[in-house]
Amino acid sequence: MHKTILTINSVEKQFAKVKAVDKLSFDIREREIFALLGPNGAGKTTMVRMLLNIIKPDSGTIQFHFGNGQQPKASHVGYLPEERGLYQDIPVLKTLTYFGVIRGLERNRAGHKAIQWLERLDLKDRMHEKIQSLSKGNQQKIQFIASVLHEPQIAILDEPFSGFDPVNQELFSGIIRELCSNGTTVLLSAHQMQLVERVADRLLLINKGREVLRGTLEEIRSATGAGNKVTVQLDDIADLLKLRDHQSVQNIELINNSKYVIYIRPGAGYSELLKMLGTYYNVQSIHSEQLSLHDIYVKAIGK
Amino acid sequence: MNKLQLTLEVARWEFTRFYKLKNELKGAAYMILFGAAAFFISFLIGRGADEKPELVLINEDIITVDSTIYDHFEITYAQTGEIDSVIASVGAGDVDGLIVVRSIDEAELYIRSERAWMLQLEQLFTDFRRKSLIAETAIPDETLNAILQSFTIETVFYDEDAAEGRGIERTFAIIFIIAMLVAVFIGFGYQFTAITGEKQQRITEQIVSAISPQTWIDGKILGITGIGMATILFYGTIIFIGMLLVAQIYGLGFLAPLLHVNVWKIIAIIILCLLGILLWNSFFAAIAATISDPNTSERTAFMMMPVIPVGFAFGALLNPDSLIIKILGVFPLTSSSMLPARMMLTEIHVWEFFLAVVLLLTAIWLFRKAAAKIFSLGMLMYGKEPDVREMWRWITERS
Repeated sequence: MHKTILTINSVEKQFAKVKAVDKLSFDIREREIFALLGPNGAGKTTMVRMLLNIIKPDSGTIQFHFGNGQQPKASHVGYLPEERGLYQDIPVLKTLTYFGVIRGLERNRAGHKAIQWLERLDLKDRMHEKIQSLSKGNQQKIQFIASVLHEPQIAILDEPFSGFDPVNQELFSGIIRELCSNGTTVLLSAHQMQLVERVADRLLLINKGREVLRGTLEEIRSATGAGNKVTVQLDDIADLLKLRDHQSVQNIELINNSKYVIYIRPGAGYSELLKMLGTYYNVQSIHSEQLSLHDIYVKAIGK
Repeated sequence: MNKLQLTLEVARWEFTRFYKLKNELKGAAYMILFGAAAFFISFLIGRGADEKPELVLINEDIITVDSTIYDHFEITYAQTGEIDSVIASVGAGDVDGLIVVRSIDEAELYIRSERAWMLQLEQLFTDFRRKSLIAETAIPDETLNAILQSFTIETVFYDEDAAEGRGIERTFAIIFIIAMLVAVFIGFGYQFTAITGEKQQRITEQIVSAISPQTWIDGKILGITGIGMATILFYGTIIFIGMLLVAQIYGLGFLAPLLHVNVWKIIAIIILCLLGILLWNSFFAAIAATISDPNTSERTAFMMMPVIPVGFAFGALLNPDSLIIKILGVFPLTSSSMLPARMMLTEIHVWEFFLAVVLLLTAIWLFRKAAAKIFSLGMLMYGKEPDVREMWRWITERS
């Protein structure tokens, strides 16, 4: 197992009458992708700002473990804030070089690395154009490059996929994986559960500043008792709800008159259930899968 | 990268972000072009003005008209019976005007429309009237000249050499104070753009995750002060070269008094002005850090503050050694304009200069600290500006 790179211990932050973060504790390990999840206003951005020392916690400790010092240097950390913005009147390359330099890169190296990134993201031919001439998506790319240009030990990415089309979301989930395999630890917060599910090694779900769930996806599935789900499409209207008492069934959800989702108890076999479905109902299609992170998230937050 | 290097990097960024030498050169080219055009037009106007107006004078025997009138006007004389025909000539534009003297106290002037020379004509006839009245008293010319002569006081300075330089030193002081004001106003505009603009464009969070608010503010103050200085240096150089050219062309010796200038005094004034620019930029940085939207904030009124001490500096002309003027000469918000004014009008003690410098440096240090504190706590406040009580709490609380 990789060593711990960041330890958060019982951190609290209160804004006026709102408790944004409430005794939150977790740790992040070297070279992992750690996802911080939660609904709007859950306290994710406040937590991230405290990690970056932009705001201070009321109590609790945040410890980085980079060699000797407790506080990380600018060069150790990359940050993509949720509140995005760039100098609109400055050319792309000059902007990236500046961000690289204030993060500790030597000017020529910053420029060189910026060009490499721009080339990779098909923006090299626009490097001398002002930021304002780029589309919103391309500005997002520039912002992303600025946060990882200096090869940080930990990259904190607040909503890295927002503003991207599905193709670019896929591209950047690949880039995040690549960063991780090259030695960068990634802390990300995002709402795109499908992407997080595929990318993240471990997850922390928070709500109203408090921890709701934590661990790998499997650990979370196990902790929440989330088994498989079976989606059944019938030929005509029928009532499946009477199967609710079956020993394998945890819950049945009616989608429409002829479509149901059956949630299976964790670890329970459901071949008998499938046999019953085939025998007593005109099944048009049947689809079995594990509960997605999206399902777990919605169930956990909705409690 | 250490803090100083980071501060200089931010200063460099701010400087290059706003200061474009190419634009300055273009601006200067336009300025020279417009200046040349204005000069050419005024030359044409002046050439027309050299032509003397043609006037016809009737009843010249009523008042003593002497030869001085010919310096300014072409005069022809006519008889009373010719009035109508001369008026017709005025109407036709053949002559510029007709003066009909009615008595020693009044005359009529017939013209087509108002002209600038009318005032001069009136002054000349006022003079002719006085001379005519004096002539009636039969006072000899010598006595008359003696009566009209003004009293002369010749000023003899204790240090004649210093006195020769004082005029040019005063000019320098005025130039530096004006230059300081220009730099401060330039700085004000850029400071507000740089700080509130970044806040509006949501850039600040990304920047301060990499560098401390203090480094960020310090870099901005230095960079923007640099812009003000560069602008002044650029236009100052152009104006100086222009003056040299004019001096060369017209053979003027206005540069000669430079030899009598007290160099240390000039250096002291430059130091005070530089510190004044830094002080006001630090002050504006603190103000800008509290502003969410400069278009609607009432705090932009602080822009006028640097003008107030310059206004006080004129008070020094009345009594440069009064206690209040001496105090304002070392008080940090006023010293950068008051002390140079005093230095030009009277002798100051060396300690006054050093006290002013120390207090200015202290004020700059405090303002930049306050600016960073306000900024670090206010940067994430969008749409709401902190009130004075809130800011004071931020400044005074321990980090």
